[in-house]
Amino acid sequence: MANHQSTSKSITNLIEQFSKLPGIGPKSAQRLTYYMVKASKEQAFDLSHAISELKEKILSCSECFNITEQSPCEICSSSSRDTSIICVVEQPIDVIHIERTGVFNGLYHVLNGVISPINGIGPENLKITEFFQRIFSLQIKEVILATNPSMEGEVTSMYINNFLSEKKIKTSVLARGLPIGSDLEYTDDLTLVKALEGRKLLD
Amino acid sequence: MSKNIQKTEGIVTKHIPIGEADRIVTLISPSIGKIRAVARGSRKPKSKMGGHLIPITRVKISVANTKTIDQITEVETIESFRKIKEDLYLLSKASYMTELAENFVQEHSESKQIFNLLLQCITLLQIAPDIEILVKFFEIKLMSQTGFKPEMIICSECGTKLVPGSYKFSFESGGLLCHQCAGKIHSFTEKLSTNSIKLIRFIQNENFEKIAKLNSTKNLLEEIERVISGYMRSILDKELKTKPFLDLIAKQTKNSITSKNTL
Repeated sequence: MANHQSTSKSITNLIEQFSKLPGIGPKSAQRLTYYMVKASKEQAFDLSHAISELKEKILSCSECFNITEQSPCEICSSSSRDTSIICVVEQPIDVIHIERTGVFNGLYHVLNGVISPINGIGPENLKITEFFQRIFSLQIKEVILATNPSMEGEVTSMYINNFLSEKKIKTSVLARGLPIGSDLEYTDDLTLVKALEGRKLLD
Repeated sequence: MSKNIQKTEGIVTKHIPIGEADRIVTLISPSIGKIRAVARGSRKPKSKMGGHLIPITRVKISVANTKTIDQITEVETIESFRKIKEDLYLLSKASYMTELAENFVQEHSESKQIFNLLLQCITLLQIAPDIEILVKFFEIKLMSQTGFKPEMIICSECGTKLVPGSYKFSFESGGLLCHQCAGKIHSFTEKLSTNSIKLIRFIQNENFEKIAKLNSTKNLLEEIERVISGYMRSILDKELKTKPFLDLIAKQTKNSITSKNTL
């Protein structure tokens, strides 16, 4: 398709770049581009500066593999965190969600993915070996497996647990059950079974 | 836009996250073969569908045919195979079997036989005493159903009837070779002992109840595994994605059994 003659090269270029982003189609990319044309020079420079700064400064923590600006990250180097308990998560974004709850004060380990046999992702593609090495050097007493309750998340948890149970390390998983505000009628059997098994006595 | 809704059952084989909260789910159904459809909003915590569309789950579904990709409108679990999902070893076998079955199923074509075989074997995974022979049973029956039955009676090259003995299996011609033909063909063959040949023939002709009663098949199964996986690779022209994981878990299980026995 030939470019419209009135469309400048820099506009088509930015549309192309925007449409590469997840969740942005060609129409949204166009809208964003024309917004940037109208926006002040300062705003445009701020955006481009923020993006390039992100790529220059962000790195992976050498301990927990979370994304950070310094390595080891703030959590790993903090003296107020409980170093005897570690929470294993799939992605860096999961750390943010757990931190937001404010109830966990231990360390994290980001696997950067999950074991997915059907997609050919095995333990060797994740930060699992690094995790096993880490729990021994830190003398961890409890591991919380906070992978998603999907099949892939469960496979990953089971794989790690098989190793930890041999080493006699206390391992727990996040409770499985009904989400708050959901409907019992539409809940699948497996979730209901887990919810019944994990029921709690009321005080 | 009018939607044509099909109601069927199926076994979920895989799902891929897409967009903000959707999934593309693949299923094997008896009536319309492979189904690839989008489950809108199924990744949201309060989704009515999310928990039902987990791989290796037998479900009842309604699929709306649209101009682009089909859409799942309703889903309900028939059997969740809980025991499999709580055991890494069984899960690795079930993942392998579903991926293998999916490779032989086409979209919009009846696949009752393959569906029933997969369902039978996944159900048996939860109770069978010998899982390794169950997997071989699945592979051999699947090949027979899809037109790739390994030829174990006559030479697959010249058609000579084979007398009892040890023969080479050719991946290219999909069967045993008589000694004369084996002399001419050197590539892509694997040797099979008399007892392994007998066991493959037995699996081809019998139901699982009888096969499960067989004793001391361990060494033979290792030999058969080499032949079947080589033949399967030549049929599919690729390595299955679940295979490395399957081998890793099998190795770990074997190691833990050995270490338990030596203690």
